[in-house]
Amino acid sequence: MSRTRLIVATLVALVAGGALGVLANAGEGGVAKRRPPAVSDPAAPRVERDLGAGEQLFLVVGGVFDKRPDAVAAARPFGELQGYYVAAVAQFQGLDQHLGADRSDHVLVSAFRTESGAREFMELATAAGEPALLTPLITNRGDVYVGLGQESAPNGNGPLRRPLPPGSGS
Amino acid sequence: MIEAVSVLLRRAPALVVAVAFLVGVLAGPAMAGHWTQRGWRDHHKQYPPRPSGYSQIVQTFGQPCNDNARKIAMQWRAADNGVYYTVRFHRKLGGRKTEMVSDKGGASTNLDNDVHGHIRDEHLGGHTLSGIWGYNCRLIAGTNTYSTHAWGIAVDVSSAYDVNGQCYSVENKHHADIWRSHGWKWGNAWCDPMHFQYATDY
Repeated sequence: MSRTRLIVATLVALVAGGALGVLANAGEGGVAKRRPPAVSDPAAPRVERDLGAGEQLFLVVGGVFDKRPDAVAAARPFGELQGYYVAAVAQFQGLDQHLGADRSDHVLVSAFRTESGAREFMELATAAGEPALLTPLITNRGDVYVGLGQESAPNGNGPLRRPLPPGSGS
Repeated sequence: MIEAVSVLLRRAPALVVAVAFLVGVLAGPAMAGHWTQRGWRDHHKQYPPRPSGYSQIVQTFGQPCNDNARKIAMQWRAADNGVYYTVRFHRKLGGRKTEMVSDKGGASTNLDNDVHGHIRDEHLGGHTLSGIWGYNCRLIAGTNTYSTHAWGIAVDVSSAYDVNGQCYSVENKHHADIWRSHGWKWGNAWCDPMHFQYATDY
């Protein structure tokens, strides 16, 4: 290799390596900066995904879509908070009739065991400028996770993580 | 002094009236709306220690979504749409009786009297815009970890403008120092400029 070629190759390698380093650093920094510290706190418990199969639940609905990708695209967070989840209308018995939708449609939805939990979420959705419709109790097939565990337990000690005893009211 | 004014009044009454009018014009707007003129002051009473990490948050504020986390409520007006948003928060962060806050059974003067009062007193309410909320028993989006909102120790302000993921602030930068000086951590550090929380490392 001639001396000129060696110099050119060295310069090219230097520039390419530098650019790669800058990009990698920016990417790493960007990702790290965008995550709230809670996500990396090892002491923070992870909430189990409670499907609530067979339970009667209050649903807050934020929209109905023909196609799942459209629903996924519309499911925005409310700041750092989890917004709606995406589920098939068919997951909830009679929801198609309640909404005037097809069973093959998809909904933006969050489910609750108590009406007060549902209403608190409606207030959040409204403050975030998103639509929110409360349904009566509807039976859930439990196909996908739709947000259970995100409401206060009636005893006021923490989140409600299991079905309410029959007849306890909601 | 009084003698001088009375001499002036006799010799040039129009001048005295004009000066008085000018003082009124200049001072009036500056004084009006100052909460201090209505009796407000920063009490800085009974602030809880600011926790670091999950374990200290639970130690200080209890389990997520407990009753105390949403015990106190205040109305916060957004300057852009005039809507009064209900902000709920932990009883250790406010609800104590002051000149401007009724007794809500809270323990401290932090959020409703001191932080909000400073923002009002310094005429910075024009930078608290739509999309304001506090307590919500909710996970951090896309995770299975409770947000600081689930303890009522986080407030999102101007969420329609200082959106999550934006690594700069348009509105909240005008009052972020007030939050900081009362123990709150600003989410702008992790590109969430709408978010203020009374905890670190979580």
